[in-house]
Amino acid sequence: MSARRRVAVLLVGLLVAQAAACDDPFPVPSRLESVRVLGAVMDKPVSHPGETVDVQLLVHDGGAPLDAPRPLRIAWFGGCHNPADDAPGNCYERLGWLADLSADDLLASSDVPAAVPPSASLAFGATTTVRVPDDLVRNHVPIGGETQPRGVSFLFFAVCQGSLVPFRGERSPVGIPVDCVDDVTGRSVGSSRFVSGYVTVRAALEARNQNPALQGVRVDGRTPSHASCDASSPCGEGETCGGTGRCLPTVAPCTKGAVEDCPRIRVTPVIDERSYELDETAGLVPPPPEALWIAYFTSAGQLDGDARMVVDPSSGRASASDVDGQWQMQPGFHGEARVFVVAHDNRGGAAYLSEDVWVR
Amino acid sequence: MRSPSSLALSLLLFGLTLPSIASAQGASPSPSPGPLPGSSLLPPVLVEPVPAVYPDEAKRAGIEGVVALELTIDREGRVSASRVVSPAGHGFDEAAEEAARRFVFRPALRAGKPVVAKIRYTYAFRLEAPLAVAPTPAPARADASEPTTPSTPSPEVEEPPEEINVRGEKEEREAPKRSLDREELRTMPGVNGDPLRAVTSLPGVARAPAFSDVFVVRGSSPAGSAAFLDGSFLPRPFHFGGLASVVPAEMIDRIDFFPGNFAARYGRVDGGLVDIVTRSPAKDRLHALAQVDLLDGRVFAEGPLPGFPGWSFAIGARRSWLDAWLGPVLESGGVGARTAPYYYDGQVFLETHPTARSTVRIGLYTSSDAMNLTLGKIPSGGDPSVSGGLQSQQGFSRMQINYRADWGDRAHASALLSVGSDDGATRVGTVFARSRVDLLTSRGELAYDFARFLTLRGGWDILAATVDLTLRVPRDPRPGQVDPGPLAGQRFVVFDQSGIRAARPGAFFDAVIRPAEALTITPGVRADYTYEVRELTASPRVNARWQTHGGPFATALRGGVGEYRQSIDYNYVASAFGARDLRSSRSIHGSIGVEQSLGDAASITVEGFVKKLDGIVSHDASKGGPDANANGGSGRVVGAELLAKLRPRGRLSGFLSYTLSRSTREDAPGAPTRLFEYDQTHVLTAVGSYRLGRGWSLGGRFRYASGNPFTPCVGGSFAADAGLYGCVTGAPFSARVPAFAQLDVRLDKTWELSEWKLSAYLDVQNATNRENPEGALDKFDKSARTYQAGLPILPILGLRGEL
Repeated sequence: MSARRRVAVLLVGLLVAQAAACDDPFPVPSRLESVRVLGAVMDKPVSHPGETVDVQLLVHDGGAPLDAPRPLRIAWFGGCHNPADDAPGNCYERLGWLADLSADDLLASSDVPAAVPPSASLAFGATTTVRVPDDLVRNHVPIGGETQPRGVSFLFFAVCQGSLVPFRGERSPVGIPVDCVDDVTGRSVGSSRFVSGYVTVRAALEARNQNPALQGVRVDGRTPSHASCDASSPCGEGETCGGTGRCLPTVAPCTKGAVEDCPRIRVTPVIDERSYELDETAGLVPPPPEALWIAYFTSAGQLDGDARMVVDPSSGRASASDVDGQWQMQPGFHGEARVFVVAHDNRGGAAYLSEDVWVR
Repeated sequence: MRSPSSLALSLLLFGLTLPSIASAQGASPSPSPGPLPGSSLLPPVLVEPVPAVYPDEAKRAGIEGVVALELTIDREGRVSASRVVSPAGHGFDEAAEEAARRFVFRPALRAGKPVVAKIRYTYAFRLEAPLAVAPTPAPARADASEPTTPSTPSPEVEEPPEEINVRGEKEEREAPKRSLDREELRTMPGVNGDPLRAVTSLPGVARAPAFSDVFVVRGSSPAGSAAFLDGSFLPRPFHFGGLASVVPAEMIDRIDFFPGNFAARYGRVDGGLVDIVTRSPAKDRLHALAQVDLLDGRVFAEGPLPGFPGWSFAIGARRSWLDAWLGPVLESGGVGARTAPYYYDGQVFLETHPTARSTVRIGLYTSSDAMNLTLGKIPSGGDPSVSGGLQSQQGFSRMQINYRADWGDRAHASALLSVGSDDGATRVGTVFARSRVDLLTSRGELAYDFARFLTLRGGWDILAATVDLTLRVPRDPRPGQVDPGPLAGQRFVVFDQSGIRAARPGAFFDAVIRPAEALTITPGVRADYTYEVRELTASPRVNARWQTHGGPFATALRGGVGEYRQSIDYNYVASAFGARDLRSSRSIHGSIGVEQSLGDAASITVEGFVKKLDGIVSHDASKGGPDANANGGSGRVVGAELLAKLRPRGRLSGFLSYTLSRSTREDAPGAPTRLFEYDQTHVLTAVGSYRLGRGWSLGGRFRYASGNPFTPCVGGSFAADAGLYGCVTGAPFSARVPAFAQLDVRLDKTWELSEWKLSAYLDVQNATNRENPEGALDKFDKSARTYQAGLPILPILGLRGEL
């Protein structure tokens, strides 16, 4: 079997696997029932050597009520530049120094522990800033067919509802040697309260990329007023005064037995035209449009189709109705619920919005 | 519980074959003896007997003898196989066989159409002169010493069409060769009459996953095995991942399968070979057939070529109409079908015999598959980079000329020239690959019988191609490579180059040496040159067969050892995928086995095999970049095969095949040993068919296979810019999909009508509706795993008419 045929088989297999995923017994990703990272937004999705990049992690704790979030510990581990094959998995060994830290070192502190190598970094909090090394582009090995020099650096993070500790076992389930343990029992909390991953910091000599521009979210065709409200200033028709003193769109609860049977509430992201860019670095003439897609999440229920393509480089823009999220409320749920809209492009760009609704 | 998509799939594959519409016209059948009592069958007639040579030793010793042979007469009237049923020794058996194989018959006819037949033939050697004895009626078989005249044969005509009969025929130079003829292919349960799918029931072949068209033979990679059509490389044997073969069953005479240790005439692959042999067109009159089912419609015609005496033709065409009804089904499932899947293929063959002992065949054939689907939403946890939709167009076409001739009694020649092109374009979301290969192949062979103990053969095997390639794909995925994370976060390889030239001339030579009556040794060597990387290789091979005992309980030992080379892929010549310092990979095959005949009832073959592989193209992370491939991989395969078969004597026929094997790889020197991704420890297939009488027959096929290994996710790492979890992998290929077991059942009913035959069948695949896992399915955060179920119960009802 030739390489091109192997690629074709791989792709068809991926598509079949994805179609088959419709049958899987697991909860869908859009249903937020645990500690989750929804995405990361960088102020410069494609940076230049020597610049600094501000990174914000989008985190939600689906295991707690919206109005009573639990404390989360967030740590950042940097220093993996241009790993072999640009594969984040090749960073795991480079971050082996994490196993040499003490548990105290992984508490938020202004002091850099001695075990952190000079080329690495350790930071805490939902946001951080990294500096792009001057030689990141120069030291990058092209993977083939590239038209413009570039570099890549992986910034790892850990989000823990508990305490972060070094992982000293043989094979960490999150790749990097970090674990999250319960503050009381000291046992690993598992994936429901612990997420680890990475942000890809991209660098080029000339190219830039803009984050997608989300201007708002319409719920069931209505644009939320976000007006202030209280007992003396009630909200208008179709809205309810929420716990934060803002008017929220009102949606009907689901009376069905299963969430799959619940009526669909349309969630429409309002995307600015600036979001539609061409990918000048794709190496194709003419340059194709940048891929753009929306991932949806909710604190109550699920979305039929967790993610929707907005722009497919091969087929162009999707119709507006295909982009809309289809929110199915949790049966029997009443009160305040939230839907998250996270826009991604295929060059590190991201943006997000959330919208609260009142279910009654 | 089965999902709606699974049910839709069942619906898709539920085929109702409508009656064939046939017409016939043309010349009257040639004169022939009357039909056998109680049947419309006309036996073969010997038209060119050949006298046998009296063995010198026997003549000197004054010994006489009688040899009974079983001859298989093909549709052209040639003796395609012979077997000594009652040996006489002293050289009589060999002399009788040698003469009989050169006989020319008028073929047996059923309703005027040539059919394969087996007859008993007795040679009586008397000292005054050797005498050819005509075919003898079956009841007289035990008393065959009385000769009858050749002009009044009463053959025991056996109809392979009614049998499941896997023949372990051995050609002298092939160690293991297994053949399935057309009717065996048609009636095998569980394959819906598809010829190539039937091959997967033979020993040495791993079970391919559902919707996969790979051949995994004796632990070699799918790329190491190839399919040929009349000697010409067939780039895509299947439509749509195994849905149907690109060559319809009507065109096929037999399929020869070589699981390893094949002769020097074949090269550039180091696994197994499937050689599809098309049949000669009918010469008596025009035959036509049309068939339709839920998947496709086909037409087929054959007969003498009008206006060209001596020429005959066969023409066939098939087109699916999945697109006519699958589109709405897909739309209802949220999949936009701009072009619903469809396929077509077509074949034209012209044949003539310039002389009595030569054949020229001209063939044209083509195949195409296409679809254009769009997904309105990205499936749960799906990768946006491959979620926008699927557009695929795959096709090939060939024109070839085959020549075969006997030049006198000692020289035999064959040649093939083929030109054509392969086109492929696949786009999934943001990923695409487009290619075109224009190629020319030629092979030829000359064999000369220098003496009874020595035949020499030599020939050429040339391939030349021009490749155009445009790609935007993830880097070539290779086992052992660290998971690069979701595609949405990756940088893709982009490549666009036209006119990549490939030239691969090869030559081969072998000898068939018979130092003793029962021993045949076939040494050979093959030389291949790969122009793209300037590589010259020589691959020596030798096979041997020793028949230790003759007669009904004959025993034979066989074995072989040889070197085989897998040519580098065209694409590795391109800078996007590889480097010019890559070389072909090498495989050393070794096998030894025993064949034991158990009278007329059964036979059993047991064979052990080993392979040593090196120079496998693997990923070399230390090199990085576009040159991150190297011939650093190696591997080992060890296994044993069993084939036990019932000869189609009574009502019961069938076979049992079992393969025990272990195939491992090392991705780089010093790298840990891992299981091969298609390693299946046990593969068991049992096929049986019972003739109930009155045209009814009931068959079944049971398959058991170990699940394929896979690399498990031990956890997940969230790729924030892609919004997806990537897999944190465990040890490579350290987990297995649960075992596969499936029972297929087939019920056939045949009505013999005056001018035609009507058959109806019900082929129920996965009759017990077992939920066979086909692959691992991880939770979106990789914290849990389940398995995707394969095909549910799949009943296929068909009707078939033959004129």
